[in-house]
Amino acid sequence: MATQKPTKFDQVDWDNLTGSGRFKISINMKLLLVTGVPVLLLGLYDHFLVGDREATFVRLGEDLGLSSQFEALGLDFNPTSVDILFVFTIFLFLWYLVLPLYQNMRMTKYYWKEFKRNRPAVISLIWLTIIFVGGVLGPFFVAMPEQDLFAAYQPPVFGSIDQVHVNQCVGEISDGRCQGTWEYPLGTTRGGQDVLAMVIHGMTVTMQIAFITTMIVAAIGITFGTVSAYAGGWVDEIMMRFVDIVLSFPTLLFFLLILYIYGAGLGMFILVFGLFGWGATARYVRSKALSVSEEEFVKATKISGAGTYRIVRRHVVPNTASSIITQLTLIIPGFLLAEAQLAFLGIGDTAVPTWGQAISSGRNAIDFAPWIVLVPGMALFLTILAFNFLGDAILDALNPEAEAESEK
Amino acid sequence: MTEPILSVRNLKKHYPLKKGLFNRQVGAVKAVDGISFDIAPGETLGLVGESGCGKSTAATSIIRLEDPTEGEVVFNGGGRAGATRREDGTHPNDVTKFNKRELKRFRRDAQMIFQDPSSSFNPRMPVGDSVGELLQVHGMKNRAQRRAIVGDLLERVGLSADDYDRYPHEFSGGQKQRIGLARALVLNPDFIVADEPVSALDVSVKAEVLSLINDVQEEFGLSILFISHDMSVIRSVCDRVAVMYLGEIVEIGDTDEIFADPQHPYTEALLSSIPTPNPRIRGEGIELTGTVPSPSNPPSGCRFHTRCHKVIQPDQLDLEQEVWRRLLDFTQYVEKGEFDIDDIRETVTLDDEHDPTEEELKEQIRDEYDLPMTLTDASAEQVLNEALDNLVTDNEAAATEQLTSEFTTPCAETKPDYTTHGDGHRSSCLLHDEYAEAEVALSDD
Repeated sequence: MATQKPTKFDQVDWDNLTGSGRFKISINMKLLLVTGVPVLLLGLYDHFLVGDREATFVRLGEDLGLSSQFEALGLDFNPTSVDILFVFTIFLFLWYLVLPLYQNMRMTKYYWKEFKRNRPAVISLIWLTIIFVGGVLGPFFVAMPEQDLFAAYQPPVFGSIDQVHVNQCVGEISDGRCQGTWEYPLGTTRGGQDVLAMVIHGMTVTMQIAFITTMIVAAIGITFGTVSAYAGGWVDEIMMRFVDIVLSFPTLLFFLLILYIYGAGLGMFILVFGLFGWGATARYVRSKALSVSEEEFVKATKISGAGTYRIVRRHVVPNTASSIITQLTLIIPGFLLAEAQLAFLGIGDTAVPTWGQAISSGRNAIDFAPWIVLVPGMALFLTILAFNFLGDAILDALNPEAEAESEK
Repeated sequence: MTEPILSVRNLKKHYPLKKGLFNRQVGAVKAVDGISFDIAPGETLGLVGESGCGKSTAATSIIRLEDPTEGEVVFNGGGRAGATRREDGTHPNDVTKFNKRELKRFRRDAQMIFQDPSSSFNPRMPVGDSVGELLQVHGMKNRAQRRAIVGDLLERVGLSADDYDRYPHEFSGGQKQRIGLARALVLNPDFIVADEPVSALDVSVKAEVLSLINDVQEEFGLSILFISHDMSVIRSVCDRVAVMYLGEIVEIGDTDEIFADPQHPYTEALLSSIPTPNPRIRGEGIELTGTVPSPSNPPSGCRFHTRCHKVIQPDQLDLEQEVWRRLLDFTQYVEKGEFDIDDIRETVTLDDEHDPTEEELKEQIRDEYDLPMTLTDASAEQVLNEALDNLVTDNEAAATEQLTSEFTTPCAETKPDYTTHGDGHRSSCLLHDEYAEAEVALSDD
């Protein structure tokens, strides 16, 4: 080093301080830019340049002149805009939630120590991890369930069904009952679709709903809540009245209206419910931000000369995070249930295999082929339960202050 | 006299009270109502007073965490020395008029230590980052340099450099307060406001932190405004003391002098509240009667007159001081409508079960409010007796009229000026005013 920088606080010459760098971008931001921007560009490309009937990656290969390489690698996917948004959200989740946990190992260990006290929550976390991994990777290994009328109503492995209900039994027939096989471990539906494949593809949809709506709700809710808390006065008043409107907005009816006019896919469902689901979060964030901004450490930061943006970004928002995360884990089940209900009523997106649809497809056969309803039903039930347990446990784990105070 | 590092002039902070649909202002809480003092370089000034008297508001207004309503805070530290007033009378070093850039510069020269160690650090940030953030905000971009400086500073306040990465919940209150001091020091300021820095700590830890503050002050020549409600803490760290009551400074002077010879009755009362180890002197504390008045509607005249044990008697009366105080308290009760004859009646009926006579009721009232059965001053006795007659016959308005017109103190009418007792020791009490002296002279005749 050419010049030794002073390492004692009273030797710093503040008036001639030469900073070593310009505006610095955090590693998290860099990673997001490197990974997220291509995904978003792909989304735009898919939306504007690729035709309806073309597969995105095939077209991309043609445009880049790399068709043969793409073919060799098996890159022939045709992601929907929901898929692309999902991938982007996962990157956001990785770089801004998982990576910080790694960067602050000390705090993470502490959180984990607190979190694992809650057994049901640990099991919930394992279950949700399975759903997440299954949802993200499953579709690459398990094909979309396809109609095969000859394989209709096959029972799950170790189960059996009366012979009269099946056209053709894949397994053995004994005592007039068709036995299940490993070919269809969880049985099949009336159309002969593999229930296991349906559940795995349903995981993807579930995770897409959970992640994307959460991102929309969190982004709008946190911004709205903190701005409202910090602006105060009539701005606060107007913003909160707007939240009242959002909260009392009949989202379901609005969605049905859109459905009848434009027809609504999964993307529209996520968009509508995300855009009208942030009211409670905004209110929550506002009240939390108000109470945090009265804390002495915020005053201490203010007196250090820091600007409002810095105070909000580095001190207020991180300290509202525990409540925000909890609140979000508690509203996700609402979205999942809403989707399942719509699918059950037959007004969901028929192009995507959701759990709600699987449940709905089995309702006529519930007396002799109950697995069609039970398997996706249990998956949905357990997932919702897991989110609820997780929310509770996170609230307890992410609150070092409460812990420190109770030790006194 | 050398130039003070900080001079506060007539500082006021009023919080508006708003009401109704259109937020009309209906009054103001006068948390700080015109205080003035100077702090010399390297000096510690103690600001003492009971809870709610405006000490902390004074501190936050001086350091401009809140904008004061009125007044001037001239800060001459950090290379601002020797400035003279502009032609329009404003001072270039007036903190209350600093613009954004000047204010940020001021933040480097004046810092603050907070009261509650458990909430003065961001629980989700390693303490080293919390301290180093100040360096970052003021333009030090080099992370390694920040870390070195903060590590060195943590060692100086008695912790280890490795504590940089630990989180606030991993420290004890005393340790956190040391880190709080480190945070206040990290920008190398000239002036620190310490807002009750030890009131949340155990006695033993308190002493350690106080001696650390003392050491640091000597080493770096800091000036400190030390706020506390604890007279014994003040005595151990402060060079001078300012005593605050309801938003005003009632007495200011050298610590030794104030402790040896307090001039204001309120200071006397505060001093008598210090616990003494000597059992023989115990129990002689001055007990202040009445409740603390609201700062939104402070008493007229001397603000302390509603609770003062030395409140002045009018010329025509000659009562024992204690009796006079109780008589005034009784008058206040009746005036505020807090007196309830039915309560008295009930108490009497409880004792013996027949309808109480008027005489019995009057006795009970005197008993309840610690008034003697007959006052030594005949005219006062007559007025009190008539007022009591009115009270027992449920004629409260007439009683109030009689009491308030007869039992008035000059303290409620005249606002006392500061009297100098030599060498910067000032107090504001009518007892020291010429007015009072004249009274004494008259009554001696």
